[in-house]
Amino acid sequence: MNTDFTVEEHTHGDASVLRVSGELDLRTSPELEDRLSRAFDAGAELVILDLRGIEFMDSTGLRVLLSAHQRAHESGRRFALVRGADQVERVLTLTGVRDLLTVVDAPEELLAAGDQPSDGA
Amino acid sequence: MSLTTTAHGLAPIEAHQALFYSGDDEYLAGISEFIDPALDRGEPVAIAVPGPKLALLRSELGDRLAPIELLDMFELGRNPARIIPVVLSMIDRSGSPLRYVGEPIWPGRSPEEIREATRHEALINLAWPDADVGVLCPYDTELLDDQVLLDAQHTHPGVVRDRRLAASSAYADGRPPTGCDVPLPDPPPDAVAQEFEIADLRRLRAWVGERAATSGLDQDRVEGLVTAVNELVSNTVRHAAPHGTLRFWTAPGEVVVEVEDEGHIADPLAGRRRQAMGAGGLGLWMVNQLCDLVEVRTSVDGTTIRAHSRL
Repeated sequence: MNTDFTVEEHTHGDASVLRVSGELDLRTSPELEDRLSRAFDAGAELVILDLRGIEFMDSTGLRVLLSAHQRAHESGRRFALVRGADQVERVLTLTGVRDLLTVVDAPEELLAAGDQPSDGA
Repeated sequence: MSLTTTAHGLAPIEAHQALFYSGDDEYLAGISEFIDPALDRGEPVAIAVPGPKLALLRSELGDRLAPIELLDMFELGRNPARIIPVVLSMIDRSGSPLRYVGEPIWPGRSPEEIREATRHEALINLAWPDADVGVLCPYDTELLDDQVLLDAQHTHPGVVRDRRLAASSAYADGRPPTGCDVPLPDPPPDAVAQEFEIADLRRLRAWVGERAATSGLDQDRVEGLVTAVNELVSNTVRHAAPHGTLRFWTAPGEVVVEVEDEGHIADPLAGRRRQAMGAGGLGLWMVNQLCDLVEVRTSVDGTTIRAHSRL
């Protein structure tokens, strides 16, 4: 476990929201990759990765986002990001990765109004 | 003129030409002769030259420039490793054919910048092997050093002199001239160094951030430098030996960082094309975008990457 990186998951109907905080780098990215895979494995139709709590992201984090995007695309599901701090935005922009992904300001923009939040695992 | 043509009909010596010019008239004539046929056919043309040269072109060629994408090479080519990515994105966007005028070497550039711009010129020969892209690179024969002009003959299959294009006998197939790979000068005595391994990433980011901030880089650039250093260090611990050395120093007008490890970067275009973004390519791409000059010295004995950020 990395103390400088945490993932909280909430499910809303068939959507799964992963709220991450801390620093996303070579050491912590594998954990995020694993959690995203599990969300897709569990059958989520929409996976939202909330980056608002991320203070730093590097290219290994980017690759995890790209592979989640790829998996969603291939299985006809959706993957979206909630916009992070300036550093995160900058990394997404200067690599061109931002153009490939759906980016919103808050998860609520994508969640159906009637869904009741419930804690997932 | 000759010659063997490539699949798309462009002769090899036409694909990458040095324009040796002296004075504005030769400059304008050389560029016009290169771009006019493409403009007449309605094909895409882009020009990236130093700001004052852009102004000259605008005043002399006027409306003729309307369909042309114009870029200031002072900005685009500050780090010469950013030029190939921009041309590749033009090819992605508008497809080939493309005619591109690029002047990355101008009088007054520092020796380090000229070395890296010369490396860029060599790599152009490898960057888009199958695309119908013609490149013309103006060289000011009055003001540039003789060695720069010799190197241009090494990096360009064709050279235009006195308005005639001829094959360059010194052309070396995309291998940079040996002068590009002279060892980097030693770091100054006041450089501070840190040995590192994977567990140190977070600590190193904080270390670089503090030093960069107290050296006078503004907040935005500090963040960029921390991001760049993190990529360099991550490449080391992921690809090379499990450890390396990070150095940091300041020089007049800039902050310099250097990462040394036992790895070898085999792809000369790493960090310059998206296809090479697997493995360490994406990290190097980011470093090139975030720093003003990046010097790479790599061999089977190890790699040193020195990145400069202007204050």
